[in-house]
Amino acid sequence: MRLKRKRLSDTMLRAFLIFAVLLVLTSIFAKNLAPNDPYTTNIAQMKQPPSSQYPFGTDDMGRCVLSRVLYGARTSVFSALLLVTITFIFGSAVGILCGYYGGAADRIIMRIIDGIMAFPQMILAIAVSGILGGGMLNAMIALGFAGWTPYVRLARSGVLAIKNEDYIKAARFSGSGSFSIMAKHILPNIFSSLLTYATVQIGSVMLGFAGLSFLGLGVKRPEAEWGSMISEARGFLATAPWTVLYPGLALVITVMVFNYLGDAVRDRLDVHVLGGNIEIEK
Amino acid sequence: MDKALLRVDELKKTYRRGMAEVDAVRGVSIEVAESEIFGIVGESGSGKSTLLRLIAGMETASSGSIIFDNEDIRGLSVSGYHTLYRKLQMVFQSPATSFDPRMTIRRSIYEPLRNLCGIRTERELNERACELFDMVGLDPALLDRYSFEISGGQCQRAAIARAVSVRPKLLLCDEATSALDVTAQANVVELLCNLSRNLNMGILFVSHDIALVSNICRRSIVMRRGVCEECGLTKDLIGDPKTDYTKQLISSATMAI
Amino acid sequence: MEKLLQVNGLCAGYGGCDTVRNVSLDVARGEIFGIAGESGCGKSTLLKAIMELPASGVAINRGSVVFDGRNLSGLSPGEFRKIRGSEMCMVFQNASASMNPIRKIKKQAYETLRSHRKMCRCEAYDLIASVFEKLGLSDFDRIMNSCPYELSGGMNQRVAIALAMVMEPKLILADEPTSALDVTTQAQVADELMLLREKFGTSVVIVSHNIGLISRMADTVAVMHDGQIAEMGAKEKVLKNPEHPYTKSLIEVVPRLKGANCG
Repeated sequence: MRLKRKRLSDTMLRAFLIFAVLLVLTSIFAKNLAPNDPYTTNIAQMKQPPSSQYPFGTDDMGRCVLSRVLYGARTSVFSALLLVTITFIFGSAVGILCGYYGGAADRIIMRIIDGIMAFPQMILAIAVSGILGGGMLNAMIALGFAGWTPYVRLARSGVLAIKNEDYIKAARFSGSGSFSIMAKHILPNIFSSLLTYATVQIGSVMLGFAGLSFLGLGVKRPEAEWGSMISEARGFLATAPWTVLYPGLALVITVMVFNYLGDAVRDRLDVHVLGGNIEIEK
Repeated sequence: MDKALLRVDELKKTYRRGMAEVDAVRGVSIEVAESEIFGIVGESGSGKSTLLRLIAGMETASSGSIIFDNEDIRGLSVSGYHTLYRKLQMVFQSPATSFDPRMTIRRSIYEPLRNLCGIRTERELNERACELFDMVGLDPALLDRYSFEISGGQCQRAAIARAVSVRPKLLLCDEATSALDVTAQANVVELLCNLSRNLNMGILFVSHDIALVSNICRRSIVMRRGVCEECGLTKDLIGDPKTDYTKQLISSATMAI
Repeated sequence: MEKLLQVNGLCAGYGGCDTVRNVSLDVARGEIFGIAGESGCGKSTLLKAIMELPASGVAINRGSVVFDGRNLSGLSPGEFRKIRGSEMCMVFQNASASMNPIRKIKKQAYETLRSHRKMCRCEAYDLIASVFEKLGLSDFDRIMNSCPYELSGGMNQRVAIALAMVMEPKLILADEPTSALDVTTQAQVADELMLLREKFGTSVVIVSHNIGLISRMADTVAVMHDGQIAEMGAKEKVLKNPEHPYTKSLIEVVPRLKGANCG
């Protein structure tokens, strides 16, 4: 019985990886790609449908929607990726340590986590953001305040599931210390479930930023950010739908790309799941 | 003077499950000489695996003593275990799960060579790994496979290779052949016997199969519910069983033909 | 006498592959047929092919299975479903895994029976009680009111066999029924399976890698290797005077009780 990797996973992984890279590049080079200045207002040109000068039309302040969408990528994508990366690393580390060592520290930390998770995330974010004041950095802190907790739970349960497996015992017999076991044996085996969760979180975090911006606690006007663009344009959805459509599409496509990327990476990493990435060669 | 390699004295282990207490091991004493293959026969719940784990230092005994190579190995420090594992190794029941599914066999074999034998260069590591595979009768090409890509018998041999890489004085085998086919089992058992002879290595062989134990262990004990039912020379246990349980084990083991 | 089960030139396997290659065998009524072999030889696949379990992924590529005079490949799924479970039952290796561990056994048993025949609870329980009695299982009430996790592995397996027998099937297919059990319990379950023939006249096809078990239970033995039957015949002949080299090596390698000679 020969086993071979399914080719489809590799193609899809490559495709989504390219997509994701394009998105990140867009956010970095927004300045060069934008046809107009995203902040220049022009009341005479407000709520104009898409034209050659304004490919995505203009919003209620006469600003170019395309340029704002491109600049918004910087805020939405970049900030979301940064926040998710930080919460992912911190939360997973705490979770792995708690799961591996257990004991009183584990119990105390888990109760703290329970306490934080008992609050509705957005309400907590609003409260923290309100205390700290507005701005993107404070919005990130606000969302990150509770954002790391699910990773702790996920990582911890992953560790508990494999902590007593024979290969962990064998690693101890091989002279590996605790840190070495956690880094080389435990982390790789729980990584895929954490990563999948993280990619889904990217979308949630983007929406979280949008929500905070809508309340004036995140991005401040006239800063461009997809979520705030959508909420600002709610009032004239019927008369100027492009003001909602393009930022909305951008948000949807970005979230989808990262979700599918997460799936593809997980499939690629799960080399040991028969049917997931490997099939019997006929 | 026949100095015992391992001496276990009145070992007890009690687990607390909620309000209840479970006595997994209730006062077991055994002695294993150097290069001896010693058998522990018992069914599930007999405490044989717990006994092994206590000896290996994976769990702390409630009372009793374990003297290995003239050292009390209860409650060692981290560096103490480091030293212990150069002399004491273990092979587990399920061959597939004794290797990290995300690491090649090669990487798994390198681990004890790096940590316990102090070998650093890739060339030396590769040399030793190939040597070990040769010793256990495996093709060195299998080093670059994953555990799920090779058969159970091959996996178990690789696990034995990993364990004897440090040339231990005592090898603990926890139902090491129970998950294998009859043919693979015979090969692995033959391998263990040869290694014991060639490397002057003692083996503590735990199994539920009394027939198997009778073929390779000079002395053994029968465990049941945490206590030692009978102990002594295996051929005496088989030829003249004193307890009903031992008699039951023997009758269940006999092939009808 | 007409054979209860006839397998003719069966080729079956997963995804179009042939794991089972050209297997032919007969099982008479009231016969205990043992299939011995190592892992990967196709013995479990053979059972799954005979039973045509839809979720198993096993498909018959060539050959036929005739059960009680009926060609099973000619039956519609609905007709087969009627046979499966009431005339032909399967007992698996890990009985506790085939039952919901947290539901009481009586609820699960009732559910199973109801799917075959409309009956009220009392009728169902009476039926099960009578089977338990015939098989010598005591403590009917206690067992019925327990959940599988509360009972031992051996007890679960015996309960699974009893439940399989309630419909009084003509044939029981047992796939490694004792492999997950202790040595002493294995003997008890083996005896139970032999009792089925005595009390109900049921034929049993038992598959196992444990030759000792097969030798204890079976009338006829077939040794499988690499998807084919290496040797088949009456138990005494195959096990005492094996002809095929594979059978010879297999029997040779089984550990026998003896005084130690190594170490």
